[in-house]
Amino acid sequence: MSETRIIEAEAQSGEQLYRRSLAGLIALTFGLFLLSLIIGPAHLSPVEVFRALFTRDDTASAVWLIVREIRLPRSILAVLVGGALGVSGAALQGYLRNPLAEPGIIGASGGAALGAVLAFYFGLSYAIPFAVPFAGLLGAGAAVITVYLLAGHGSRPLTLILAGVAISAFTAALTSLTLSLSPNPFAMSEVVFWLMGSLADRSMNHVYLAAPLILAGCALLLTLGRAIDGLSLGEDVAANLGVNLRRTQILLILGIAMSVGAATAVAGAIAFVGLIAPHILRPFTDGRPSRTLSLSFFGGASLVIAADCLIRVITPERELNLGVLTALLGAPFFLVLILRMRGRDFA
Amino acid sequence: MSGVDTASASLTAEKIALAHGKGEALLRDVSFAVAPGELIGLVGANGAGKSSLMHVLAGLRAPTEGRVLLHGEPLDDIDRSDRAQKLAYLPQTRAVHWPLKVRDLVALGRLPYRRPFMGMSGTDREAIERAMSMTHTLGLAGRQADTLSGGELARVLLARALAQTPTVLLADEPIAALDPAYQFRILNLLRRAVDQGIAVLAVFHDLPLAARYCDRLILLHDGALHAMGTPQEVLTEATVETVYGIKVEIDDTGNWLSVTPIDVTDEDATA
Repeated sequence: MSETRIIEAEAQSGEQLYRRSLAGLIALTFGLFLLSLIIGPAHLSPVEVFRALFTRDDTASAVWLIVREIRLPRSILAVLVGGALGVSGAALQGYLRNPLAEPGIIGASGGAALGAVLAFYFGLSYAIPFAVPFAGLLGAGAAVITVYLLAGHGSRPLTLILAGVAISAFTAALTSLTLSLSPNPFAMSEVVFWLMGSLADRSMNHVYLAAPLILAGCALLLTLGRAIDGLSLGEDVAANLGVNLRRTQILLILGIAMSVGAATAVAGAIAFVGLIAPHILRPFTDGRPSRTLSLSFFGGASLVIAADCLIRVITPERELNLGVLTALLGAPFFLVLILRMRGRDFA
Repeated sequence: MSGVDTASASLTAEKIALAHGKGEALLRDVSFAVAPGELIGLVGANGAGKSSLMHVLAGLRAPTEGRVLLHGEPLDDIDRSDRAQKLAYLPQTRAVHWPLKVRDLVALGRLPYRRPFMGMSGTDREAIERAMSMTHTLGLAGRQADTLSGGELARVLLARALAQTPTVLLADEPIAALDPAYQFRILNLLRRAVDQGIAVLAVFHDLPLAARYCDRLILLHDGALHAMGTPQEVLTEATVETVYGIKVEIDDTGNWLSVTPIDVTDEDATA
């Protein structure tokens, strides 16, 4: 019976590590969220910020306006966008059993970018409020539906990736085409700037637009834990364990389309977060892919808020684009991960 | 023909046919029944349709014709998780895609019993412990699956299937690529599972070992059932030559049927 107790202790230590990591990440996200409300070009004291947070409409006060109209939506969006990218990356890596998968691979972010760029091109961004995020959402939806139809109902994961790569390449080509046909350099620079990803100058309306979709998409993805665990032993074993592979694929695509599509529609392209968040957190999961899901939501959220705070500190005059910073920090980090992974076979 | 009454059988194949998209037949009119507590060996040359048959029996592929009955009930009519609680499938590949701990890997066998977002019950824990103790893998509980040897991994994956507490176990080449000691260990484990009343159908390429451990053999040839019965009935010099295209000497005067390969009959055969 002592061996029995050893395996129980083993299971409990894994569960404990996971719970502690999750609690730690939630605390970290919350802490960074508060920090994000305090940091900015206007030097506000924490006390002023918290007073503004907990008073109702006080539009006469500049502090209230800065906190409620500028910093609060930006901080909320950072949590949502980072969380969407993190949990989508974790779900896709688990589903494909490939640590190099990135949520953009199924076409949602490419479609969102194309939709947004078209809204700029046709001048809708001036004519209609929130035309850009709306067009982004439409683009993400259209791209993902095309990928799904191309791959076929209940297709194998590899077919899905290939269809996603094809559609992503096609949307990227159309985005470039739109850019090269752009009527004037000013319009072009505006689009390029948007494509690089940013959370600056977003309002609470952006939050209201994106939050329901992102949260619903993440909720769908969080239900896939069992299926993703079953898939660690391959599709046949997962099916034998009662996992409905078709349903899993539909929920995965829908969840990523909603969360990443909405995130890209309001924030532009934020690189590497969906790839890296699950990677960093995998050591805290005892190898169980289902555990990366919830950890990666808060991990992704922390990464994006931290990056967004960093931007405001290092280049306060003319803010660096968020997508540029995550790519600058993400690419070398990714290289280090690949070097560490060398020789260890996960596939 | 099968000698097993369909009503009491654990698993029944009824006139199974399977065709590729273009109509090329992979399986033709395959019928047999497996009784509880019976170890049946599925043998045949490469490409005979053994793995396709295992896929159909496990419900992973729908047959073009015919049907599979699990305890007398058509496989298609059984709810996904009910089926997973009765029928375990052990594939040929021993792929583990993440560095799972052995204990967590075996616990995957309890997925069909678990409700979403719920922890493990006492029954789950008991089933995991029993499967691990039966397969002598308790000592590996804390190891990462990617650090195990091929033989250790084979036992751990079998423990996962047993943790499902199935009544039917389908094992596709469970002793392939294992050293002789591990081949015996896995076969002894399959026998122990059979002694507990589980019906086991396993694919083998090692004819002498299959003959020694199995109650009955099913010999597949070109997608059809070529012979079925006791190892002595199925493995004759004539059937082996027809099906495998090799000359063998078969001696059943000793304790076990001995099959000694002599040579291939047609050096250049491609089909």
